[in-house]
Amino acid sequence: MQIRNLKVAFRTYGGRVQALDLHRLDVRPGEILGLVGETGSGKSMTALSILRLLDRKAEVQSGEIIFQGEDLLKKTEVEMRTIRGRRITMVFQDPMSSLNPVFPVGEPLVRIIAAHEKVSFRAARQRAIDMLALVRLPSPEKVLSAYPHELSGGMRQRVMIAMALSSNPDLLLADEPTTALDVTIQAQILRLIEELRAHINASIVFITHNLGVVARIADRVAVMYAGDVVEIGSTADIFRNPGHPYTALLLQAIPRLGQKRGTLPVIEGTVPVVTHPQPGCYFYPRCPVRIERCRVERPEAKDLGDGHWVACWKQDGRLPPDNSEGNGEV
Amino acid sequence: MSVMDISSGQRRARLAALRYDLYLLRKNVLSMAGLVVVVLLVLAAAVAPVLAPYPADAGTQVHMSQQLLPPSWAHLFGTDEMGRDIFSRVLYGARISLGIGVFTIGLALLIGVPLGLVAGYAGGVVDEVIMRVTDVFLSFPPLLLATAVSAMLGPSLVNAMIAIAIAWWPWYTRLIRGQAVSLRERGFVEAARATGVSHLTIVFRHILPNAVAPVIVQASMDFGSVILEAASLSFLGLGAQPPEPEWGLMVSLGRNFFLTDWWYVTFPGLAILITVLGFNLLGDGLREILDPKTREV
Amino acid sequence: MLRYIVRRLALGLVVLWGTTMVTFFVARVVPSDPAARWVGPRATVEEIARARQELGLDKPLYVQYIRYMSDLLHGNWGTSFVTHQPVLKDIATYLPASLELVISGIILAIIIGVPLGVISATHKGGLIDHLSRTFSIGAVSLPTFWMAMILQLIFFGHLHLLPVGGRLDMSIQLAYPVRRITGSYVLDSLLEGNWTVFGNSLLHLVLPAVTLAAYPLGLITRMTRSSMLEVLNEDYIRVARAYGVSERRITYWYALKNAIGPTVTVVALTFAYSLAGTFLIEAVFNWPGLGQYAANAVISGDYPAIMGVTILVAALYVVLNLAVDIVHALVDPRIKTG
Repeated sequence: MQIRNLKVAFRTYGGRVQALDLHRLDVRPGEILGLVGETGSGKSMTALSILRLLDRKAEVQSGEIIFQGEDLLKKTEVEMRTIRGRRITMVFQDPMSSLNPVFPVGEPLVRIIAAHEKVSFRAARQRAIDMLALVRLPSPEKVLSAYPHELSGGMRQRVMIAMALSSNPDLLLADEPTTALDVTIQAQILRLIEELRAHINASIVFITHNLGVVARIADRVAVMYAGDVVEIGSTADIFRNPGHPYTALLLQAIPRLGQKRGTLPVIEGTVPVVTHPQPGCYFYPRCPVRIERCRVERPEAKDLGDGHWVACWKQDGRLPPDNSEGNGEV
Repeated sequence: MSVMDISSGQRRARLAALRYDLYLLRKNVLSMAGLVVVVLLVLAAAVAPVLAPYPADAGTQVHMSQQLLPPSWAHLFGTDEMGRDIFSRVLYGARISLGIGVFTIGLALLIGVPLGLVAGYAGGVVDEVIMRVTDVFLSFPPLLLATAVSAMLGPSLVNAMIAIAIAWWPWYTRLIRGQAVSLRERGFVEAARATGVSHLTIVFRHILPNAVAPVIVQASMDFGSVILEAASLSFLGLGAQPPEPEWGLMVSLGRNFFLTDWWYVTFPGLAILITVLGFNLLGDGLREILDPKTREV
Repeated sequence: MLRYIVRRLALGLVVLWGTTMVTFFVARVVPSDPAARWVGPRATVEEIARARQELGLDKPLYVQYIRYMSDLLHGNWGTSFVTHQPVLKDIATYLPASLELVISGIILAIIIGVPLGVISATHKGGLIDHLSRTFSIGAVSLPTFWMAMILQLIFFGHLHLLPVGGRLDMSIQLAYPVRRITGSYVLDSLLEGNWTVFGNSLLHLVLPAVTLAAYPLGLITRMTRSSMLEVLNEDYIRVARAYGVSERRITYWYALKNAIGPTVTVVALTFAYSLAGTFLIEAVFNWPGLGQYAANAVISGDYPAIMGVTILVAALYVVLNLAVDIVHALVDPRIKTG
């Protein structure tokens, strides 16, 4: 899947806000791509744009999202419905609110499987049970007829993952699937995803703000800032040899074992809200290594080799030596 | 930053929020329509003597030669069985209807607000008793209770208004109690209590001013319903008495002629509908704007 | 579950007891002299005194209340001054006609109001939404007694399509006596297979039912709209969209089942409201129901009748509230009933 020049804006009381100005993002077949960035950097927005599920106030201004040779932005709503939940599926952040409280868990699950696979409800039910077993839910038949409030958060997220995998999709968008869960459950869900990789043919876009999670499961990492990808490359490249000062700062913010306490650096400032698109680099105000050119001209992505792209005029991303330490979350 | 700075900053933020409220209200076509109706109504009531072509017809004037004339330029809404100009009477009726709203809601507030304050501030048994009493009153459909009470009090407009207020006050008690309960635990109230300020002073100086805003909003939204109920009572003969130009009463009197002289019931009824609709549209818009769940950002 | 029902029942009883207190005070304390009213305007002083004794009005208030309560519980709701029949018997006579009217009106309101509210919510901010909101606010702003007359004026006076009032044409009523089964002419004639009466009673029902439907219709539309708007913003609705579920199924199946709760409450409450409010409509349509009975009682100061109707409706209101809570607990698995 390729995204090119995707521009999405929000209409608000204060005027138009540029939410996405995404120049280039590719997802390769079968890979796990970690999409990282701070809150408001446009990660979830990217996922929702792919599924065309942005709410009414958001407006896609231009760009293309090529999925299996076709531009999703040119699809009709009816065509999208055959893609959603079948070829592209999504796991949402909060499993507590993702399941309909007045229906048993199995109702939507069985119905979705039956609709997408064009099979009888009985066959769909069997498939649903198999899927629940696949995500290691004990007594899947019971879970199928349980109401959401009878399940724990971790169990619910497993149900959501089962639902996402039931149609054997080509692309799975996981929007912070572990953020709302507590740490031990997070680890279990991550382990589940690792274990399931053999069963999944899909490419996975794993959205998170937790670099530790990315390091563990992603093949490649894309770093987003203010609506655009500022750096993308293999996980190893990104972690060992960050090309963008923002990435470098993020990495320094991961706590390491044996580190002195109390000296976690923070990246000063916040992600800008873009109401009036400006010519320069959006990271300019917070950048420790900025140069005059960054203020007037927006850097284009350059290939550093091996598919490692960086959008920065300096490109080596090396920081002054006094920056170190961090807390792992952005 | 000094204390002054904070408060002026807060004031600025409040002003900005208010401006935003007004912006939302302006954007809401329906509530703007409601606002226009309400403003026009108040104007009509204020200048009724100037605007009405036959001011004397609001009373007992009789013109036997002009009985039940259809609408014309001389009588925009036609005339009634006494030959009185219905347009003039409808205009004067606006005064009565607005008066009913103000008096009835005022009375309901007068009963409901102190009870709610006491319940919320005192808590415990007092709270329990007051709230169960409101439950009992709320278990009567308001129109039924108002009808029963006004039937017992005897037919007159004042009694009808009292009856409606008796059916209405529990809503305000509930609303203000909720506010008082949450305010009771707030710092400034506890501080006042700690410095030995009397309960009465705390309730009226500290809690009431901070709790009253939502009640005022609710009360202004209730105008439409109260006017409608008073008109219903008048229609039954329990409210205003002839020759008062009360709309509900006019519809009731016109009932004897409505199949032949359509204008008699049509215009006073339309006046009720438009008035109530105006208040309800405005109230609906306010509700939408003030409710965080439906407020648009 | 059982414990929950018992607890709600107990609370309901407390409120019911409270309503008898209120009605007692309104009936016995507020009127200037019930005994004088009992014997009529031309009674002598001795007659009034005797009546006072007969009615127990010479006893202290709490004794009066105890007697009143014990009478109530024994099914003695007093005797109407006007019909000189036991109030309870009168109520049994007049109630079915009102129920026929109220139930058909509310069914009409549900059939139109729920879909209208749903469509309004799914088209929020659009033309349909504006129209439906104006319509629903207009419906609750209508003076029913006036609307009734305007409908008569149009459909009887000008178009000659529908009868002006009553439950049956006099000629039909005399020619085809219908056995009283439910008390509803429409149902009874249907059960008996009497099509003439069925058609005629249905024609008579149209205008009163439409008039009665207006207020509940407005409330139902509004409540359905606002709770649908809330539910449509929930995450699980977005999830359903993300899985390609059709908008229609999302709206009418997944969202509506979540949103219907408040609407059910409104329906139950407006049922009691409408039963209390029918007197305005019944008066205009000359519909011989409980409302007209109450209206006559009000006009003639027949307070046993007024109190009877008031207690009945208040009790119904409490019972319906209770029923709604229990239904909610049964429908929504989240409500803790322990």
